[in-house]
Amino acid sequence: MYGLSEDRRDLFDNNTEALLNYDYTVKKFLNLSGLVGGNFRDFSYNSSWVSTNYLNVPGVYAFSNSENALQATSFSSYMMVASAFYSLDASFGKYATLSSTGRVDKTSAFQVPTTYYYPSLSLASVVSDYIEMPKFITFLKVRASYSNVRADETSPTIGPAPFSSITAFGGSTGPSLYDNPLDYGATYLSPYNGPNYALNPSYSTSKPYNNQTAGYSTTSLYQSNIQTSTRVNYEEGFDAKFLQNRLGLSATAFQYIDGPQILANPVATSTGYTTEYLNALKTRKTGQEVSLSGLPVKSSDFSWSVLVNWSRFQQYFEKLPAGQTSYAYNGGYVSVGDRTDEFFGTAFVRTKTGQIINNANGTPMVNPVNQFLGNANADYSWTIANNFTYKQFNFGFQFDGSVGGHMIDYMHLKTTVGGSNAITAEGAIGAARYQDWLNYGKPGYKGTYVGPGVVISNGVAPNYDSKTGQILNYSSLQFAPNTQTAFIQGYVSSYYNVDEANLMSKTYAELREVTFGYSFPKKWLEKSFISTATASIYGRNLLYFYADKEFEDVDLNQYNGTTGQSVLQSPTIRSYGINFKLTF
Amino acid sequence: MKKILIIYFLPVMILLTVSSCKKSFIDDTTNNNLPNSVSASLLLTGVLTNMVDLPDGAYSSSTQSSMVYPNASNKDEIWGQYYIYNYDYYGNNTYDFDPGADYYSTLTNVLAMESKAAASGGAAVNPYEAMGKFFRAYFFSKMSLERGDIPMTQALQGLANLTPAYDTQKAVMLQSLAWLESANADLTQLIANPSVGGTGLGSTLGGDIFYGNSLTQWQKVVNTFRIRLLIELSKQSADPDLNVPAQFASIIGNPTKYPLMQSATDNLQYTFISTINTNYYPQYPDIFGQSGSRQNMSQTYVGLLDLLQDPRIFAVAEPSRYQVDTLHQSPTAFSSFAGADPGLDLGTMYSNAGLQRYSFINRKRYYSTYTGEPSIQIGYPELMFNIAEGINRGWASGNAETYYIAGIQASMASYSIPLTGTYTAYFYHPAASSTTGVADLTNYDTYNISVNWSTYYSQINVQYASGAVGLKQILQQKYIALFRHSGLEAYFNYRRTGVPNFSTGPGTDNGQRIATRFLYPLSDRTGNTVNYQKALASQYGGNDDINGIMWILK
Repeated sequence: MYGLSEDRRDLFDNNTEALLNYDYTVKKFLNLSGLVGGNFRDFSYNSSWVSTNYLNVPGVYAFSNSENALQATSFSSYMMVASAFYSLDASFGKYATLSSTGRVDKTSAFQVPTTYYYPSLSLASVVSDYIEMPKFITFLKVRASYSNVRADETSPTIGPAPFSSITAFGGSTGPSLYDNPLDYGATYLSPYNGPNYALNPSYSTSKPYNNQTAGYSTTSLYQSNIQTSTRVNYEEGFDAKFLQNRLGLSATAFQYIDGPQILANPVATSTGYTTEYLNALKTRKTGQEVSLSGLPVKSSDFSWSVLVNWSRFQQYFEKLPAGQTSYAYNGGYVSVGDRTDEFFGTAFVRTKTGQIINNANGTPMVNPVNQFLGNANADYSWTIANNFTYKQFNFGFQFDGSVGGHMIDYMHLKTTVGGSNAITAEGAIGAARYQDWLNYGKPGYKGTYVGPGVVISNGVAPNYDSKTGQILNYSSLQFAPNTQTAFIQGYVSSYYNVDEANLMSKTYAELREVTFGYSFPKKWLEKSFISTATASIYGRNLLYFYADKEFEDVDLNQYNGTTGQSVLQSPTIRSYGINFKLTF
Repeated sequence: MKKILIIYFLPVMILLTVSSCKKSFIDDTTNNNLPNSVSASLLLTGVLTNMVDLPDGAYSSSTQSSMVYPNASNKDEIWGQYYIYNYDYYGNNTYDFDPGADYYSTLTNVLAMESKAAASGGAAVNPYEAMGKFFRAYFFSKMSLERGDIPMTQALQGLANLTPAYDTQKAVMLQSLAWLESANADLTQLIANPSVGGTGLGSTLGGDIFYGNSLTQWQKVVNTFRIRLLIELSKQSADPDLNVPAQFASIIGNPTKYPLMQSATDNLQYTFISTINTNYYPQYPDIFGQSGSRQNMSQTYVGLLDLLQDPRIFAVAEPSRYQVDTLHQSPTAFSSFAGADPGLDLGTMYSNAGLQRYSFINRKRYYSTYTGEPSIQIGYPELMFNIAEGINRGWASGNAETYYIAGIQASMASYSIPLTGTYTAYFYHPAASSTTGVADLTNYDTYNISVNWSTYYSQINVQYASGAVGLKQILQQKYIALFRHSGLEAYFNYRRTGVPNFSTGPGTDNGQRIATRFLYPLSDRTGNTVNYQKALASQYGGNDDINGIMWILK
């Protein structure tokens, strides 16, 4: 079993640039500086991927030694971008500084050659420099900025076999830069920054049967005259210092408006296509961040400093594709005004009082329509850091965490359903498992475990609304407490197969870091060439606080932001270390 | 006043290659890695590979990726109550119908194929155009059988109509039958005089993976499929527009005009290939260890074989080891074979399966090779039962029993069971010390079982009786013949006739009901909302309900 593959990638990226710098002062008040320039980018990329899975003579690594037909694919791409840009920094004496940039690009990496412009502007003013402040305010600065981000259809990375049509090894084919021609492993991605050809329709080929080539037409539609996607950012804030810099407060608010994007929007398949690329969908993200720093105690021997940070953000759908009142998203459907971190999944069917309705065999009914399960984003996150210095010693610790948000713990689902999670052997479940083992194979034995909730006692089948999952004939259902025993592994694997049973809160806190340090006294070093010397020990990720024992194994640090489901994760690493620092 | 003006001219590096001098922005927008056009024959190969429904009791192994078999629903055999899951981790037996198969993209390929053929020398009547009519009939009618009303006349127009209105199921069926009539007429012309098709690539069929581009064979498929479709409409046979009985009679009555399949060699079937890992049978030796015991046989199927004392049971299943090893029954006794009730709670089934109380699928036939058996899409045995059913229903004159017997015998022959003689059965029973796997025939117990057609046929449950009893017999035998074949056909037949008895219970979920239809594609809900709501309101009380009753079932 000897194989041989060759993965060859050549990238040529030539930038020809002209820059003009300027710096100009008018009447000691207005200063203008910056640059203007132009750039011409000429890009080409060629790659090939050739492989054979068996060699005739072991150890002779040559394609001529292949036992089976060689499998090969090649890829080439070209791109040109012509750009002109400027930057401007202007200062108006002590009153304000203003900076602005702008860039215009003409690119070939789009549906048709496209020219687009994106500017930015920011303004800052130190108010305390020119307005008399109350005495306790030492410093006050206000700032605001605006920027617009646009991009062409390029990809930062590329895989070994873009647009692969190799089917012999069972890998992926299709119009993707990341096709893996093998059916295992991960591909190596290399830097690319070239065109992804997402907006160009074409046929594709593959060999689905008997190495015979088959052709397929595109499944995508393209709006004509697509514009580059756009994102507009606004940011406002201030920094203030009080009581001779003993107390500092800074706050920032931001609004990011994304869209219209270049959206791959699902269209009714009866059009003959699955996706339409068009300019649509607008979202708005708003956020705030406040940080407070203080020096409550400061004396010659001892000082204590505190830093508190608080931040939050939320993103909402502001505009759906034209003609649509709902949009399929994260397993469910959303409308204008809904949050973008909503996620949906399978859920239990419940009575109006919240009890789980079970099937006749005592396992929970599952709603055929995905239900809203929660928001993945935290409501806010926080950090508190303290630092103490006493003579030559210093000691610091930092807590942080976030509050709010939920996600589905996929590992919990798989380990419980697969019977390897500890909870499947503990408590009532464990006791029932023991009974199942004792009675294994006994005729008539139907398990011991009785799940919570009710059963439908009058034999009426529930009918579900296909949009909401509500029971349409709820009033004709009668309920009685569930008394049906079930085999524990059967019960556990159906109960925990429901996303709702694996829903966990994302509220957690952590003792992120503790440091303890010592600075060697200056006089020890006076005669040496060393000017300062410090030694410190530190510990990171020392304590993790989570309310629910069932899910405390998940390291929520790895699921910040809008992740609604856990994946196979590496464990958190608790680390300790010693630092020596010498400066000369 | 001080004026400073500093100008830096950075060194300008000019590196223009010859190619970049000649290139333009517009040239660089094109993707040179993919074709802008492919031939009609390549598109035909693509359509044919999208068309097949394959058994996949092995669930999805990595080589059976969705790319290779795009429309293989992994629960066809579950919903047909043939071969069912016993452990929730890998799957279940619930009737949790999804949107089913979506062939609109495939139909886009059909349209492309037709236009490429016309552009490359195909005349007004050409092989691709005739095949195109068959494909339209096949795909549209199948989607309608799954869902009810579907977009047809306004479909496949891309940007020109992003919200196609739905056609009624009756309109889809009428049009499909008309396409089949027309396909047959075109094929007749092309077979009689190939030059009718034009000149060049578009005039001759290429890329056919089933029949080596034989139009004669495809004409049989067209008419055989039309018989199937007429049978699917049995509940609306009185509809004067569809005129099902007359259409049926005219096809049966004129074999010259409407050639039908003559034997199993005419089957439209997908043959697996042992040398290409992406074309292996879904079950093969390498994956036996991981998937071999996830599923066991269903009592709906095994119980029927048992009732009919049918020798096919020895080819498709193996006796329950509990019956043989613990209760010391003969491994070749029918009573040693036991399927699980699909309605059974999976916890109980899992426990029973662990105790070897159930028959597993025959490992020799389905696991010991890489090719298994060919997967029949439209087959001769089914045709025989369909003709027998039409005659039984009085749609045409003829002897239903002749077709009934031909169907049974063709099905038995597909398992190499002789009419009279000895059939060698293989049951997997490796010694504890065995280190070889399921491919090694020394790990099997072999039994020579004598089979006798007249003994089999003389049974009261088998020997054809006319009327309702005969109809039930035909449908039972058709169900047996469809094991692992023709996708959802067995389910469609049950839905239409109630034969054989499907079991329900906690295991099948859906409130002890067998679901009667698939959902509309999810994209219709957001992308074609108004028409989607209209279709639901006119058919299913406004709810996309898997228990709704579509027109052909009324």
